[in-house]
Amino acid sequence: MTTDDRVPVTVLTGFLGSGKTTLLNRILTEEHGKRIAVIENEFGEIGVDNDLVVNADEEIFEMNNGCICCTVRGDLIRILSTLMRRRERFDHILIETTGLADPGPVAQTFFMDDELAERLRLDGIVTVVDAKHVWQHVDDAPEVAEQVAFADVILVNKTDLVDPPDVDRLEGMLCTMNAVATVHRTTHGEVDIDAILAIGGFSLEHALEVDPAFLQPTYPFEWAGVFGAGDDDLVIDLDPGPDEAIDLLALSVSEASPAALDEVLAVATPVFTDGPAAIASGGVMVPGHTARLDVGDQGASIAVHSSGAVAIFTQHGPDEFRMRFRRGIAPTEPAAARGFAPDHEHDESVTSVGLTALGDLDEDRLKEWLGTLLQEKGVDIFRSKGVLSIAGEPRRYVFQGVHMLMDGTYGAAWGGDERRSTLVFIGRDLDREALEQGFAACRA
Amino acid sequence: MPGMSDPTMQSLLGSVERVDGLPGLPADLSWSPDGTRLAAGLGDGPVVIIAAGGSPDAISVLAGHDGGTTSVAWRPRDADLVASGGLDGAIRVWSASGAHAARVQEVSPIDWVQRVAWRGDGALLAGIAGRALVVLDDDGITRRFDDHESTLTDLAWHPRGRAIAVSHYGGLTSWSPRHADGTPRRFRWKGSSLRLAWSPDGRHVATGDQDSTVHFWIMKNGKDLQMWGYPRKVQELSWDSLGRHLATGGGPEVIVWDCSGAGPAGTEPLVLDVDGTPLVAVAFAPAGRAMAAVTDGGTLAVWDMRAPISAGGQVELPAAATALAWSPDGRRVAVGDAGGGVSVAGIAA
Repeated sequence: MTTDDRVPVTVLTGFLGSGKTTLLNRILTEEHGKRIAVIENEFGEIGVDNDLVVNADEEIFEMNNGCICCTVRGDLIRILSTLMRRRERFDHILIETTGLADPGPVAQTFFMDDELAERLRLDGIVTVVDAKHVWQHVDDAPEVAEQVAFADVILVNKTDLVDPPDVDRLEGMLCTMNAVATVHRTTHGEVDIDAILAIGGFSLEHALEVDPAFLQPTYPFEWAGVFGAGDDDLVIDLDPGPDEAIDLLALSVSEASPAALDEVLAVATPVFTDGPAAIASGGVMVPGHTARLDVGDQGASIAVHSSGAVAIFTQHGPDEFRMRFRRGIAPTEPAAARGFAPDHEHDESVTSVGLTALGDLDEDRLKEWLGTLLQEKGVDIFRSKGVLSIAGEPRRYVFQGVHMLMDGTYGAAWGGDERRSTLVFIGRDLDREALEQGFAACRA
Repeated sequence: MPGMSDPTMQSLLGSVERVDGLPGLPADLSWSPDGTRLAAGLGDGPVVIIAAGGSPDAISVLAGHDGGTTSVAWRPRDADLVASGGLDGAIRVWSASGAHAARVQEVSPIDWVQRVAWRGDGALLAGIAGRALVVLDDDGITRRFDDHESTLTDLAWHPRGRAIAVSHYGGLTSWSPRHADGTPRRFRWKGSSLRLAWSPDGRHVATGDQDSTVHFWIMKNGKDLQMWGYPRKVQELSWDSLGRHLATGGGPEVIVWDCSGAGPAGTEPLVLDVDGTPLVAVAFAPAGRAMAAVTDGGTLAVWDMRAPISAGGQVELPAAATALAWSPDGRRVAVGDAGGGVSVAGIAA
């Protein structure tokens, strides 16, 4: 690894009154030994005391780059190019945006301009949220959601003015919108400087830190249980329920334990959505394939052809069809079970979708899917990150993107680690099911 | 990374001498009309006057512009006056000899001055700051053209001083300063034009653009021609003294278009390599047949354009180049570098 001597850039966003300028002044007056240049929008809330402040005028330019159209901040290209002629004079750049600014063009500027990309690196986007007043804006100002969606770090500021349960509720909402940002609770913008100026939010090395556990994924099934081994097939009996049919999946597991259930969850989603085969009552399910059981108005029974420990995933909760389980004729209960809330509790338009799959992806299908996705839905996808396992490739493929623009490279070798792919999209009106299906279709 | 030069190549380069220790990086260079001195505008602010008749030597350091100097222009036909623009939003006119104080013209309270340029006779000085174009005479601002839809990026006078063209996002605008109420001519292109160069015969204005293209505007009829395929945004443009050839950068190679006759459409340009690193500036000598280019990798290359493939020369600089300027007689070329130095290279006759 060569050391990256590019000057880091931090983008500071947040609504008017969120405390952005207070935070900026804290950063500038703190004894951190860094010489910081500040690019401020002309409508700064209060003046900034620094020996190098340049005014930005938020000129958004459309750029055509072959088949990709995107917007960049022309003023930033001009300002940053000029600042680089004072190279010896500072070692960090802070860009403060207006409360109404879309962070998209700012981030895209660092993808689209070679000169800047060679000399500067976007370290992260920090969004300051006013814990007390954000509720007034979040529904009627799309910029708030955008700024939250783009953030690598969110500062929930002015927490001293709000009751803790309300802060919890706010943090929950922010997490739903942006599941990968780090949230800090602050008063008067008091936060450790490294949490702001050393984020690595756009670094591909940090893309490796995408943790699917953060993502509180939603599942295409509402219930899962694991059953111990037995001499006879496991049979599921169902009464008529709210639907004519129900999708069911069985997967073999090493043991009937909560840990084994959690383990198998990661792989269940793509299999579950992978085109179920219709089965009539009295049929047999083979582990690893989803069955669509016709329950009708008579009820149905289905056997799982497995004598080992097995996990069962059902489209609806057991109570909806009064599901019973038996081995042969002996009733049995799951050793561990979990219910999953159906995915229609939030109607926020900005959400995070995390996708994960064990094993490999097919490179050609992945390129085709991602390419088409970013072309067609890129406007609504604010940020994306991923660590992917490509069939036949010993190294991890890591990527991160902003709207339609993507930056990817091969990173560390998998070695003895379990090969798996993890992807995160943060965007508006994301179709989780379509994303899951598209991703599942890329599996090698 | 030195560029490999062909040993059979006729070397054009004479001695190269450098002055260093300047208080900043030269962002722009301008020669005095008699070729004895250079003004260097530094990115860190000062304007330095360098004696360049023999070995280059910094003879005075002027205050320049707080925050950085962006542009310097020695007044034509004047041994003493140098104009500069910078981040303080002011245009300043300095006495190189220190014989009298600088004239200061505040142009904008928030925007910096991006470029200053004298009309060929030295009677008028134009400058751009933000969305404004201003024209100064000896008494101050005589014209101010604010009617632009976005920030101005570059300016150039018509070779005979009839008009001023400015580039910006959305194309070009051309103003005639003689007519106070003159309506501008607009040349629209949906892209961000970064630099412009008016051909010495007045027929064409070329722009280098953010979207890695070059545009030729035919000023007579407002038609334009677009050249694609550059690897990077194009910020380096230079016409030869006759207005026949345009040299462009926008990547590691100098691309030279022949604009004679029916123009460059459909013609194959001449492509010249330097050291594989991005070009910082290209410039035809104002007289004679030489062309020079400097790179981010720190190479100065010159070519004899009568035989560019076989005659020229290269020299390595101690640091990345930042600026390039030919002496008025085309016999010497000055290069600023990121090490805070200015080199002057002699060109063999």
